Amino acid sequence: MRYLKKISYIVLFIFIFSSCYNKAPIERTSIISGVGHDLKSNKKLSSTFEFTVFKGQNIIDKMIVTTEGTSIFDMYNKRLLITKRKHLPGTIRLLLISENRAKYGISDIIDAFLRDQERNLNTTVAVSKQSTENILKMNPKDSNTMSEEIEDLIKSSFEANFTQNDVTIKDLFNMYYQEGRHIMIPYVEKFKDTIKLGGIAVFKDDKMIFVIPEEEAKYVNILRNDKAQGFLSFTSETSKSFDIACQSRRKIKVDYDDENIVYNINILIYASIKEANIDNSLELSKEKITELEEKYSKEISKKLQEISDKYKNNYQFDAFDIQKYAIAILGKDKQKYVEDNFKNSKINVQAKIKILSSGRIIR
Amino acid sequence: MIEKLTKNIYSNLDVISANVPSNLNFIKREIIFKEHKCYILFISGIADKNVIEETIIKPLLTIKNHIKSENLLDDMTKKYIFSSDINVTNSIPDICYELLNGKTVILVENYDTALVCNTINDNYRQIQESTNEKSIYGLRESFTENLNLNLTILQRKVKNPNLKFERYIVGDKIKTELVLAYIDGIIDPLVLTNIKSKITNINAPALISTGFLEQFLDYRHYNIFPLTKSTERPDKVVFDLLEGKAAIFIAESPTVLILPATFLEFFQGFEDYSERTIIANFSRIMRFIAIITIMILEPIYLVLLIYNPELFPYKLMSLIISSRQNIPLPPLLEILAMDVAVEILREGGIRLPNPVGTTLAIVGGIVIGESATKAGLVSYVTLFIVAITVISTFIIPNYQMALTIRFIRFPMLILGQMFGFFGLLIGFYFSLIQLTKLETFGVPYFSPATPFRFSDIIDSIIRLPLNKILVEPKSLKPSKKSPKN
Amino acid sequence: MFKYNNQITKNQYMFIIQNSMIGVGILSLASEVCKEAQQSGWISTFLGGFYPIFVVTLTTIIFKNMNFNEFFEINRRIYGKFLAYIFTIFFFINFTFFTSFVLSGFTNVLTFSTTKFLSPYVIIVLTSVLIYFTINQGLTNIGRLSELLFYLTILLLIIPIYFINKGNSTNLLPIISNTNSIIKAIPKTFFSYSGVEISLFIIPFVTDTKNVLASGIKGSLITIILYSVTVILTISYCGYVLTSKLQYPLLYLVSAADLPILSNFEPLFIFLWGNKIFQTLAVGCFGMSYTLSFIIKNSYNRCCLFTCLLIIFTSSILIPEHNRSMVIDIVMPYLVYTIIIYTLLTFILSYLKRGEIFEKN
Repeated sequence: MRYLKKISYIVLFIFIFSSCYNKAPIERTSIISGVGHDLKSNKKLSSTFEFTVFKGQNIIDKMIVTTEGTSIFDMYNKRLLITKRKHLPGTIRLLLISENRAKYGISDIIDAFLRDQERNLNTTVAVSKQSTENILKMNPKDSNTMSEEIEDLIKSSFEANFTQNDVTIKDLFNMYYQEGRHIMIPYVEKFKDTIKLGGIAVFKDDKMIFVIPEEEAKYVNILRNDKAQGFLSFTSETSKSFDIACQSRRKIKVDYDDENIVYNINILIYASIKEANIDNSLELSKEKITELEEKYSKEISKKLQEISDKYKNNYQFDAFDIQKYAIAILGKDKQKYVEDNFKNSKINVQAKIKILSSGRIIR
Repeated sequence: MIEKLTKNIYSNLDVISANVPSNLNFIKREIIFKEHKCYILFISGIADKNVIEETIIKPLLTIKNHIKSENLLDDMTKKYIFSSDINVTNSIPDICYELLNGKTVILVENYDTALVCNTINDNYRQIQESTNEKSIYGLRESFTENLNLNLTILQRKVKNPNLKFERYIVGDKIKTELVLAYIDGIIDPLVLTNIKSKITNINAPALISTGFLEQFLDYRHYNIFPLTKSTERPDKVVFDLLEGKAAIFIAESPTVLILPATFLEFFQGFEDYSERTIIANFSRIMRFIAIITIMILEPIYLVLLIYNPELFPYKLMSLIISSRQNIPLPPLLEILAMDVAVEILREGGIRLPNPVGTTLAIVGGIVIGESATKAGLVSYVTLFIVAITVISTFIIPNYQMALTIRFIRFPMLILGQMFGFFGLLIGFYFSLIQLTKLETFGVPYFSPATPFRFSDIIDSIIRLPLNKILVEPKSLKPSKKSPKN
Repeated sequence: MFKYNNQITKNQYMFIIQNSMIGVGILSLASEVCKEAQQSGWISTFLGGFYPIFVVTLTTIIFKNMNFNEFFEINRRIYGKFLAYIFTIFFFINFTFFTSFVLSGFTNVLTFSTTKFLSPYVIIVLTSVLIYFTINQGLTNIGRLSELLFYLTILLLIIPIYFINKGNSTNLLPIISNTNSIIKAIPKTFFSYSGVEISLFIIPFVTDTKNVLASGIKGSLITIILYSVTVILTISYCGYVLTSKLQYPLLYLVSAADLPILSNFEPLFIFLWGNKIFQTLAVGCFGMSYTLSFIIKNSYNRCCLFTCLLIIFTSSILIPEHNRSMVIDIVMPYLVYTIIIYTLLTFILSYLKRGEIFEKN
């Protein structure tokens, strides 16, 4: 019995002195679904929060709040003056950064998201052309909030255009901190009364430097991403085309002689034919398929080589995530050397299409 | 009290009468046999009247031969009485005890010994199918209240010369007969000694059922884990005896206590051994998932609701928040209210007649759940969580263990409410400490998981094919120390 | 009521050795080694495993030479009464530091991650109460718990393996760029491996002393491999720069998963790892109480109580994480080097005295 008494004293002691009874119940919280970071003209930061509003059971609405301030938590403080419910930072689905803000630098955002243990590492990140307030206050079409809609847009884009699938904030940290890599995240813009994916935003360190436009984004993506999916079409004249659904594989080989680094990008594309009406009497025998594979491999290789040369020469910038391979060979301390010598290095692109299926029609 | 019989039949009669309930059914029949006055004593009802008339009174009274004999009692036993089981004794306590058991005592004038004939009335409940432990493949018979019949049933199934029965009398106020059954050579001597010393040290006024016995065998009065199993199915007893355990039968009780029992075997259904290996493993794994569900699902849900809502994924979170709008009760009270309602229904279901009880449990559950959510007192998600927990409790094969596991979730809920995840961690670890420090009759309670024995672990959480596991478990043999691991 | 039993099986010895090292180190180890050895940090971790194997091996040989007597008895015979007393006090201090580091680290991690609302002192007090119940039953119960919790270690290993193909091998290349830095990082791993000194105290209680050396080495290897694998996975996922920036890289790694029912692995990981921490603490506190009962000549059970009260006090001092790591940086090297020198010296002396016959007391 003495034993039991001892335990009950301890329990009683802890009961009295534990300080865990002032926690807001979950029904008094609302979910922040997205946060937008913006830069005002007078060099003041501005941030927009989108959160859900619950009215009774199963009625969900959304609201946005925009505050201005000098730092992230200054704005947070001001936001608490407006909002009525407790908000949890751990639920943020989308981090939207406006183009202005991105060009100004996002190192404070990276630090805040990395430092705070409560924040979710699976937040999707995107750069927007318009101000974030403009985008987040739109009316969502097929989700509860605009942030979810943008997240869905980015997630569903993995199936086409060879879009990158490293779009979450943990991938952003990796791109930021790993040597020889640069931040490249999706770029969204307003399109009529909704939004669309408009290319890739490219950062140097924590500042955005340029946007890869939609037309070239596809080819940059093939060069940059491994195991990406998309469609390639080769048109001879209007409505006469050869379209394939592809899955790409990327292999990088780095050769190093005394002065220059040579990057060999080998791309293998597994394809299935989706449309082929270039020639009405086309019969897909083995020889014909080999012929087609060779013809279009050459075509796509040429296109990719053009793109890679363009970005290397115009921007002197690695938009294909290949410098890390050079650093892996030369040693981690050679990072500066590899980056400085990028403009002198040579990039060889070799693409090969391999047709796996011709679909229901064989001739 | 006078311990021994004297030569004076009247004083003997007085002493005996004083020590048995002198009710109407205590019969003292006087006869004259070879010029000697004899008294035939029995308690009608417990003793079989017809048997007494046929085997004792009829032969003694119809005797024509009037030759005098040297020893009348010897004569009686050897020549006249037809009864198959006769003892000669002079101890009055023995005589009184046997009378209460339904035997018949014959006192003869001028002799200081008495004859005790077995005339026990075997008019008990017939062997029936067990209603509490149903099985699909198992035997259809179960034990009854008749101790001798129970031993017969067991003896019939275990045709092994080493099957031993040992008789003990326990109880200060009401003497109760216990029979310890084991197979010599299979049971570990250390375990056997432990059991025997525990039985002889029982200090109880009376033992009415196996439940009483179980508690008197365990000196840790606040231990919530059962250290013994009880069953009313003979096939289970046979199986456990073969594994090296002992069984205790109690007179007038249809359940048998099997001991020692280790923690993991409470989750093994007897049917597991009759099914194919993979199917049996599937149900075993389901059972373990169910245990974890019962113990931690509700506490985790509670902790996530009140302390760590950020750990819900986004989609689930908006679902839960919207379901909890305008619910007046705080989460702990909400869960506790539903739990208590379900426990009350379950308890009510047991007390009511069988078909009504089942209906009450189901209909009551549906009605209460539906009305609580309709009234907006309880959220749908909470109801779902409580329902899953309750259904999971039905999968544990042993009733005592099911009660224990059910109970554990209440302290866990309170710890979760107080300390969040850390509380659950404490609760879990504390139960582990309790479990590992327990020993049942010399066997560590958590064996074979710890101390680890590979040859036994293959029949605990999983079950390998029968040819690999049907060996005597080493973990039940603490006296064979230093296993080769 | 206060009975205790110290006998353990060989298997349990292995698991105690394995468990005694899984401390807070597993969370912060990757960060420490990456600061020095960059992407080759996992090699340092692996090489640092020399420390537990060294201690376990020499300990076993010492005890074999001295016929598996108890620790105090051996010390008395080798060094005489006074030095034996001094060494016992040293080990008591060592275990006090060790358990306080682990307990305060555990508290810091908990208040940092899942239970932010709790006061750290509540966690310290509750954990100490739990540890008291564990060690009060003696070593046998600790052995059984270790054995049982080993299954949780397997789960602990499975969670990082979820990330095995999510990393990038370029982060680990080149495998060795600077040998010097790898060697420089080895002492950083010693904190993670400390705790293994407990083998000096528990070997005499092993019932079956045949092949006990193999068990000890097996136990150490399990921990070494667990550490190396988690460090490799962390570096390959995050890259060494990010890894060395993070306070608890492994916690970052496990919270990076996207799961349907819980939003990430963090609570599950804390749950499994917390059980291991209780175990590590129990082993450390056993060492404390055992040595203390020799020092103040008091019963073991009473010493358990003193020990738990003492660690409540000492770990409360070390509460903010930077406080703790400062003390670790100062104290740890001295402790580790003293232990290495002590083991080596005792090993040599016991080798010289091995001819004398000591009967087991």
